[in-house]
This record gives sequence, C-alpha cells and structure tokens, in this order.
Amino acid sequence: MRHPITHRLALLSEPLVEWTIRICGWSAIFFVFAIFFFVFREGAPVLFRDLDLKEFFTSLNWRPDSRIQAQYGVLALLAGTASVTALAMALSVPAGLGAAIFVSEFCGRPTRETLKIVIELLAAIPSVVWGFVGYMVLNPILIWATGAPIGINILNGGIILALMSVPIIMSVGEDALKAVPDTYREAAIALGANRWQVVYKVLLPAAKNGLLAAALLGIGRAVGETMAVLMATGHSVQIPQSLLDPVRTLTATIAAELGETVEGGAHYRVLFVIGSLLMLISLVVNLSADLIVKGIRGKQNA
Amino acid sequence: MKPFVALVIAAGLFSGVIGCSGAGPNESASTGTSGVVIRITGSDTMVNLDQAWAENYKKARPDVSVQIAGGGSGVGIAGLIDGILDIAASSRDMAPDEIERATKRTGAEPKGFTVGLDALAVYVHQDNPLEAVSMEDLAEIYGDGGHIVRWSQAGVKNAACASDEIIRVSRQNNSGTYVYFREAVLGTRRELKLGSIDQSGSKDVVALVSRTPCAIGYSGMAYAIPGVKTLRMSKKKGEAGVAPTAESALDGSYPLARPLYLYTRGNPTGPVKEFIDWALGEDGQRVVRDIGYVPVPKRSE
Amino acid sequence: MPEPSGRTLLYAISATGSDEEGDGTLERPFQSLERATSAVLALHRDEATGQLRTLTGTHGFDLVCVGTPANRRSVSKERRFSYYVDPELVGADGDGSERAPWADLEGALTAIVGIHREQGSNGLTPGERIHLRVHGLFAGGAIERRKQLVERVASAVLAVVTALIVLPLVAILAYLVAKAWPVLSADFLFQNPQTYMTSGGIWAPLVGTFYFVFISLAIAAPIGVLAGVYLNEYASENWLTRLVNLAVLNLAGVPSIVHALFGVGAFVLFAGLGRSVLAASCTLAVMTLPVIITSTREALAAVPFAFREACWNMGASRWQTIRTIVLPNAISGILTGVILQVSRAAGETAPILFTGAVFYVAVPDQGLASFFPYALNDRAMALSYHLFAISTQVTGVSEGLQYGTAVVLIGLVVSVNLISIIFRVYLRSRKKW
Repeated sequence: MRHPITHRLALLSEPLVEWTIRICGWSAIFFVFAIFFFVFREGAPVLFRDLDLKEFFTSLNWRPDSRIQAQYGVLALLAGTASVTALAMALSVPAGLGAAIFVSEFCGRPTRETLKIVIELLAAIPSVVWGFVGYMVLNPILIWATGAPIGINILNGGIILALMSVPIIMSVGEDALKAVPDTYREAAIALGANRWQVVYKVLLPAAKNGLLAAALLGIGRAVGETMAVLMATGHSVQIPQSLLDPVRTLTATIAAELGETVEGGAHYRVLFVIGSLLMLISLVVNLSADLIVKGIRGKQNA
Repeated sequence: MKPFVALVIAAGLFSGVIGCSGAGPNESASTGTSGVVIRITGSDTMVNLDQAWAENYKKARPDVSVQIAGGGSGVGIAGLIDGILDIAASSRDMAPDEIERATKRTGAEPKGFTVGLDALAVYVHQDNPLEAVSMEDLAEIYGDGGHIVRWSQAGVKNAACASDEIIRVSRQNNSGTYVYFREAVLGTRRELKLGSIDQSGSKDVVALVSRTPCAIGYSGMAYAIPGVKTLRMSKKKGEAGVAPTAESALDGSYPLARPLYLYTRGNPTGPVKEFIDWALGEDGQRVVRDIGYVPVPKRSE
Repeated sequence: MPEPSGRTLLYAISATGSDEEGDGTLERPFQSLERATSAVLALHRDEATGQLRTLTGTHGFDLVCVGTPANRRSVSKERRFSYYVDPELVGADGDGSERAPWADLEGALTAIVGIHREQGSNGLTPGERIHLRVHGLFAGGAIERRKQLVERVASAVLAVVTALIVLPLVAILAYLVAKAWPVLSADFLFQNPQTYMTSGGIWAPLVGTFYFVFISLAIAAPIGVLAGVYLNEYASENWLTRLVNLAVLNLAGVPSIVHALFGVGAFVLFAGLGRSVLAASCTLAVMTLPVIITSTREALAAVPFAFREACWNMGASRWQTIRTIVLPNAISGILTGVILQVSRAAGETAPILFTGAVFYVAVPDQGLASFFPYALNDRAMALSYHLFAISTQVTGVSEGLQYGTAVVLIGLVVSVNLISIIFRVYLRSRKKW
C-alpha cells in the first residue's frame, strides 16, 4: 500500500508532468516558427526599404560592400546553388537508388549488413571534412584528370555533395522499397518474374512516391549544405559556362560574409533575407516530400 | 526513479564545475574589457600575427588570456562597432562612416594604432614569365570593364597556361586586404570585376596561385611559398618597378605598402593598454618581424 | 567416345567417315546419321536391363556434319537445327519444337533421322549441326534466357554502382589516414596548438568540441525525448499532431547556415547570451532536436501495446506506465538516436561559426584547468572550426597537421557512430519480445 503523501504527490505531479510533456511535444512547431520568425525579423527591415526585389532576383552584381553603390543581385549565387545541386543530384540519385535496390533486393544478408553500416558511416562524416577532402584531395585530382586550370569548381562541389547526399537517398529509398508489401513480390515471383523483373516492373512503380521523396530530401540536403561547398566550389561570383567553372552558392555567401557585417546594417539584413529564402526553399522541398509520401499511404489504405 | 534522480544531480554538479571554472572571473561578452580576457578579432592578414602575440604575451603575463578570432578586417571592425570586442585587428583604415557609427554606438571614438607594415604582394605562378606589372595594368586586369583578360594582352607569353586566360584570385569581401587592394588599385570610383575566385584566407590565395599557372593573385608578402613569385610593382606602365620587401615598404617606394592597425574603443585603459604597449614595444615588434611583416619604424614620439 | 563440349555432347558425322570404325569424334567421325543416333541411344541404355536411363548431367547433343575430319575450330555454328525432348513431359507428344517437345529420347532420335532422310543418307550436308536439347520442366527457353541475362546484367550494374559509392569512401579514408599517420600520436591529442598554430596538437579544440556536444545534448535530449513521448503516447490523431510531425520533418531539413542565422538572431542577440559556448550549444541543440524526437518516437512505437495495457489494467496512470515500463524498454532506440546526434553536433561547423567558436585562445596546458578551460558565457575553440581555420586561414601548417586534424575529427565521429551501432545491436539482442 502506497504511503499517503507520495500518493498525493503523484496525483498532483501527474498533470504537471503531462503538461511538461505536452509543451515539449509542441516545441517542434515552436522552433520551426521561431527559426523563420527570427531569421525573417533580422532581414525584414531591408525588404521594405532599401532592397529592390527585382534587382535582387535578376541582377548578376553582388557587390554588397561597394563604396560606390551597394549592389545586391543574387542571380549568380542562385545559379551557383542550382548548378552544384543539379550536378550532385544527377550523380547521387541514380547511385543512391541503385544502391538502395541492390541492398534491399539483390545482395545477401551479410553483404547487406556490412553495406548498411558502411553507408551509415559515410553519412556521419562531417561536412567540413568533406570540404577539406574536396579542397585538398579532389582538387589536384581534377586538375590532373580534366586539365582545367583550377580544381575547385562545380565538378568538385558536385561530386562532394553527391557523396554526401547518397546516404540519405539510399536510406529513404530503401525504406520506400521495404514499404512495398511482400505480397507484391510474391505475386510477381509466382508469375515467373526474376529478381530484376520484380524490381523493374513491380517495386519501382509501387514505390515511386517514396523514391521521389528520397530524391527530394537529397535535393534539400544539397541546397542547404554550407561548409563543403564553401571550401570546394571556388567561391566566384559568376554564371557558370561549364562544369569546370568556379561558382558561389547562397549558403557559402552567408557563411563567408556574415561575420563582417555590422549588426543592423543593410548588408547584414540582406544576408538574413537570403537565409529566409533558403529556409523557404527547404520548407517547400520538405513539404512536397511529405505530401508525396502521404499520397501513397492514402492510396494503399484505399 | 532513483537512478534517474542520481543522474540529474550528477549532471547538475558537472555543469556547475564547468561553469565555475574557466579563465578567471566571467563577465558578459558585451562589456568586454576589464578582467583577464582580451578579445582581438579581425584581419586575416594579421591573424597569425595576433596569435603569435597571444602566445608570447601569455609568457609575459600568464594571468591574461588573449582570444583571437579571424574572419577579416570587416569582422573586426563590425565587432568593434557592435561593442563585442576589445581590439579590432585591421589591414585597412576604418572608413569615416564606420568611425561615426562606432562612436555613436559605443560612445567613444575608436583609436587606431599602427602596429606594423605589410607590403601587399602580387603573386603569379613560378613558371609565368611575367616579372613586373604596373598599377595601371593591374587596374585593367582586376577592374570592372578592364580589357586585359588574357596573358597575351598583358604582354606575356605564358607557355604554362594552355588557355591563355588570366584567372584572377581575390579575397572575399570581409577581407581588409580586399578592400585595401580595391582602393589602392582602382580608387573609389571603380568596382572590381566579378568572376574572380574569392578565397577566404591570405594563405589560400597563394596556395591556389602556386597550383594554377594561369592565375594571378594578391596577398600579404609574408605568405610567399615556393611555387609562386612576387611581381615588381610600378606605378606607371614602363617603369622598372619595385619588389615588395621590408625596406621598400618602409621607404614608400613600393606602391602597395600598407599599415596594419589595431583599433580600440576609445583610448585604451587597463589590460588592453598594457597589451598594446607591449605589442608596440620591443618584444611585440620582434614577433612582427618573426611572422614576416615589417616592424613599425622607430621614431621619437 | 563423343567429345564433350560443355554439357553438350558432340557427335561428328562425315561423308568420309566410317560407321564401323568411327567413334563420333571429330577425328574419326561416323558416316551416317543413324549410326550417330544409335550411339546417343547406346549411351543411355542400361547394359543389363536394356532400359533407357534418365538423362542426367547432359543438356543436349550436337550432331555435326563435317566435310573432312577436321578440328573443332572449323566446325560451323551456323545452320543449326534445334530440337527439344522433354523426358518428363506428361501428355501428348509434340513435334520437337521448343514449345512442344518430344516425350522420349528414342522416339526423338528416330524422328530426327526421319526428318533429315530427305537430304540423303547422311541426313546432313557438311557444315550443318543438329542440336537436340533436353528440355526440363523449368529449363529456360529463349525468352527465359534473355530474362536471365538481363537480370544478371542488372545485378552487375547495381553492384558496380554500389561499389562506386563505397570505394571512393574507403579510398579517401585510407588516403587521409596515410597522410595523417606521421602526426598522429598521444602528444597530438593532448597538446595545445603551438607556434602560431603551425605545430603542436589539438587539445584545446578537442576539449571545446566536448563542451559544445555535452551542453547541447544536455539541452536537447530531455526536450527531444519528452517530445517523442508526447507524439507516441499522448497525441491523438488530429490536425495538431499532423502539424507537429510536419514541423519535426521540416526542422530536420533546415540548412545548417540557417540554424546559424537563427542562433545569431535568437540566442546571441535576442536572449542576450552574446557569442558564447551557451549560445552555440543552444543553436546545436535546436539542430539535433528533430532526430532525437524521431528516434524516440520510433523506439516507443516498437514497444508492444500489450505492455501498456497490462500496466493500465493494474491501475497505473499513463505517466507511471511510461516511466516504469515503456521508457526503459525503449531506451535502446532512444540512446541510439541521442548518440547519433553526438556525432552530428561534434562535426557541424556552420552553426557555431557565428555563435561561439573562436579561432584561438590560449588555454592552460596542464592540470585540471586544462580539462575545463572554457567559461560558458565565453567563446571556445572547436575541432570542426579548427580544421576549417588551419586548412584555409593559417599559413605554414604542415599537411600532416591538417590531415591529422581531419582524421581525428572523422575518428571521433565514426567511433561514436560505431558505439551507437554496437549498442543498438547489443540491446536488440537483449529484447524480451
């Protein structure tokens, strides 16, 4: 029989505990809004006063520190982000999905466990180390292999980003493939399909939403990556003409320039505006991925 | 329940130990001076120098801890204006509007001390036959609308460079080196051409040039490494040009010589003053020479 | 004796051969088709009983007509007639085609001889080849063979693709370790950076990283675990829960530099913490929160519902149930998530770049103070930022030192992840359900 005092304490503290838990549960919503709020708040004043949005999105001239006339055109930066992300996705989506198919459908148990651990470790490598690898290791290799004058460019950044995005595409893709019920596989095998036909004709169509979500999440990761592209892409404000051109991304610009801005100055605020833009892009990508995944769940329950 | 409570108490104690120890009495970062922590932030050109000072000062004054951060002269000046640091290291002067803003925000006009001299060298790859360049040509290479984009246009047959294209290496715009270079070479009416490869540190510029036969870049003369050579600089085209050395920086014959500054909030007092005096003194200036810069010429005050 | 060619036996026939002296090899061919077919039959006729044995081990027979005794290489592969026999066929006899094979060997051979009788006594012209294939029930036809080929090609391609991912990783790691080898030593870990950061060790940044990681997890773990508890135990299936789940997903996808901006806006400025270990740790905490929430939620979901029901039946309240039964049983999954975030917090640079990391600060070299050199409201060195600084901003740092720092950082992160994996496997093996 419980001691009367502890029993009363338990009765009193239970709602307190439950409310703490509830508040912690809602904290995620709070933080997402808080991030958007604080980032936007720091950038907002310039949006309504000094910043010409048309110039912002269409001008190539990014000269925030000019003594003559500060220019805040991010077109070249957008091109930089887009080009590096596009190359990274072109490399990592086929590789990641291919690896996901291989690991979940084709290889034997021991190989699968080893590969999964290896990929998990690949995912754990910090982005600054990737940047270091791009800057110190891949740089001379690319110069030797392509004959380009410099080795830090879109190709370098794209390869590094691809290696960084593959684990997430692979793991989400694998989940998507696992989510296809075994009955699909069994039915196909009963009809005489071999493993590849099961994958190609049955699993891929069934899991296509999940695989698309995997690709989208990979894109989200690539767009938001900072340190690796800061060190590996050459940091040059220009619209690239070829894969071997150095570019600058939105994220690298913020990382490189935020320190030098004076708090509350125009340059400072414009950087926060760029941050808000990045936040918006990642929000859109994540929401789409979530909606696409929810789509299949709805369909399967029907 | 009991192990859980024990864990919480242990974590709390541990945090307490961490919080209470540390380099002396704590204070909020916004007040800065007083106590035994001096914060120097700013110029990447000077960051090695600052750090050398910090190491050596620790031997002279073990009770004082000097914190160094880089980020570029702009970062240091911004921090000074925001009032979050004690000393800003800068490789360029503070602009009048920056001084005004700092005075308004912190209530005291920033005071600058010249703690050394640097000759800003222009580097090319060691296989590049170019030996000298004039400020005018440099403006045409780096400036917006400048017409020199190929090595042949600069009057040089750069055999090591297959595409004959001049690859400009520059600094990111938080760098005092960048601002100084822009002003010295292009003046206040002209922008830098976009599309240069903007490195984050003085060292990267030289490292990149050493690997890229087509490249040209600028950085402090202390950053020279094998694989690059420095160009002689002349003011006008056709002149012989002067190499960047300690002497030419001191006597002013090298056009891109610049002072290195430490800015403080108002007149320095207490530990900050002691540090600045030490830096300007014999020990501090010896460190300047060790790092590769030029000590301040001695003159009677 | 017939010459084996793979698992197809080869019998040679030639106009200049001899039925009596020939033995069906290319050197001494038979003369007539009948002789060759009776040789095939003889192979399968049991001497004692005269019954046909079942065909095992061979998949087919090739009856080849050569002009003169010739070597194997001149035997033509064209003009091939293919017939099929299926000893296990149940039902009517076919006509020897792939879809309707003959039912027994003897009848098959007789039919072959009959078909080729029109061409003359040999039944074959030089250069022709008759292929009799034993078609088992599940043996592949042409379509099947193509399917198998496609599968094998696909499997190989996918394996190559996977290798393309794994091999660069292994190569890069090996290269980094090789370059870092001369520098790695106990001294490297425990010494402070010296001589203007161009030599010495990485003690101060290493300790700083531990500070950041420990404090940020101390903040994030309780909130994250309780949030996961809420999502799995208390929340009902309504729009609010859906919104919370969405928020967790989005929080996980926020770019790291935006976390840095948030940290500056919220913790450094708004909360007045200034650039400090505390501000940076709070920023890192917000960054690591979503994964802790998700892994807690999944770990709790894995605990069978029956456990909870049993507790409720005995009169326990919801929180009591969670506290005493559910959480302890889910602890493996929760800890896995938390440990994974240790490695993430240790490796990230961008969030601490503007909120609390410093390029250099002189810390005590020995004694207890060297273990706790940083104050919470002041800035600290960190291993990730240190790597960035010495590879891009400090001159004269030897390559070995840079690679060494990278390797230590990777080693730290990888070993923490390995601990989490081992832990997960160990605890899973101890599960009681």
